[in-house]
Amino acid sequence: MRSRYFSSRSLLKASIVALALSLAFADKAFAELIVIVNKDNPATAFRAADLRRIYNGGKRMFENGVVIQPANLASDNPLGKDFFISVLHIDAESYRLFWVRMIFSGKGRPPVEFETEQEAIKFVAANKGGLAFVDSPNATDAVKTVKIIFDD
Amino acid sequence: MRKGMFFAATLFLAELFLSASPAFAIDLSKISFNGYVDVEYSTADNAEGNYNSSFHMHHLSFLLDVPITDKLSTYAHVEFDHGTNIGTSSVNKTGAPVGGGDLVVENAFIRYVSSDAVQFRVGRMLTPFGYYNEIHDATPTIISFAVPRAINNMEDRGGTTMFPRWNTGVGMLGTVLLGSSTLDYIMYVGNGENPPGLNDSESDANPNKAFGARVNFQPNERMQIGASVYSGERAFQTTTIAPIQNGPHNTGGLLFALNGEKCSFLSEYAVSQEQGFTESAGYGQLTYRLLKRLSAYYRLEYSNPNQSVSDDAWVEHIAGLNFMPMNISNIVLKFELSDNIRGANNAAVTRDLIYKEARFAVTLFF
Repeated sequence: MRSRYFSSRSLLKASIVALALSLAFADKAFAELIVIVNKDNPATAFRAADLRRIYNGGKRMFENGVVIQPANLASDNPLGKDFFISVLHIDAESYRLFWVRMIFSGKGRPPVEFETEQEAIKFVAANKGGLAFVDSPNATDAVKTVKIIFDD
Repeated sequence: MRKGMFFAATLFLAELFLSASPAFAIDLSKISFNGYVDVEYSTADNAEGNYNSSFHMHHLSFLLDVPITDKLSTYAHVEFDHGTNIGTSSVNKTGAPVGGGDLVVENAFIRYVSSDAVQFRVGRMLTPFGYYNEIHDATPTIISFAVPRAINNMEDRGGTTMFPRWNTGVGMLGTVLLGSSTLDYIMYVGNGENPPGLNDSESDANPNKAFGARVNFQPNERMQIGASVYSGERAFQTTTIAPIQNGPHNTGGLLFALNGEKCSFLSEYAVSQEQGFTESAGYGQLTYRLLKRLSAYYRLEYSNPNQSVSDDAWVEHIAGLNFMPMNISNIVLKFELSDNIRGANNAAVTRDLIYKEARFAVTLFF
């Protein structure tokens, strides 16, 4: 006897709906979060802890003395959210408030912010101290890609 | 002749503008312009607090950060406090000028970054003491309605200021990385405190320069331990008709903070010694993030304006909510209740020892 509630057609429909819903609500998956620097930069990898210091204004210079110019993606950019959580260990709102405090106490300037990865790539290519993060397939030859060594 | 001079002057000015060297030009896109504004409303249950219930146009601040080169920049922060109206064009019914408020240069310094560990500042700056003084009026950056008056506003607690709010001089600061730990330091020399009426950003009332330092050690990303010292001279009088003299004024403070994802704790304690008395103060503050943009806090403040006077302490319990109403909002709403309990010998007490206050603030930053 065929079940009224569990026919293969209804199961197929349910699966399609579930798949559509999960695609609609899931965060975008990224290939690999990587850091990009100017082509003249000798760095080959950054520890996540160093990136936290750079993006928190605690580390302002590369080892070769060049002033670091970190770039951020707008806080509503999914890749930016991913970077905040996985590398900086902070959500976008808290990060923003952290920098408000830094600005209002004269302790520095926040990273410049771009809407798209392409703009960030352009900025890094044009500035010796430029540093940004992108999804690996989007990096171009104009910049050097550098791996992130995540915390244990 | 006059026409010729006018023509020559016009030519000179035109040449001056046209030949302005690009070396002195600043890329406007690199200049940061920020600021904040806050409006408050408070009410108290008796005249020891704000019994009349009033609005307070408290802060309007503008900040400018101008990079000259990668390593050299200048930073300025100008504040209009209490709805500044310092002109005399407005008069009340009796013809007397109305207005008031303050126009204050909170910070105006030149900054040079030699390396992460060695940076310099020269100019007028908010004294780096403890957690709050450098952001003492920047209400969008603090969880509560105002900074703890214990330590930071002892003059409102029946005591005297524990350290000068501003210092004009030179400072060296930096960040040193020690493995996974971080050490931030700043030390400075400046004019220190002058008697009323003598601008301490213009001259020093005594030949001794004030000295101060602050160290903050973060063994990990969650914990912070700090210490601050200030040592200078402050004017005093043994009697109201005695000549003004300068006496030593030394203050030390400790800080301990824990920062979790949802919960954080901050506490400070400071002791200040000057001619004839010692004052001490401290507070503990617990913050809990209830929702993404809604936090609750409780703070207990304790001020002892003079350790040799009995029953002069001021205890304040503060409980409040801090709410950012919109997604990625620049607006912060604050509501807090405070309960003040003072000793009978506290100099600020006029009638009642106890009063309660409710406070509401809207702050906006950009």
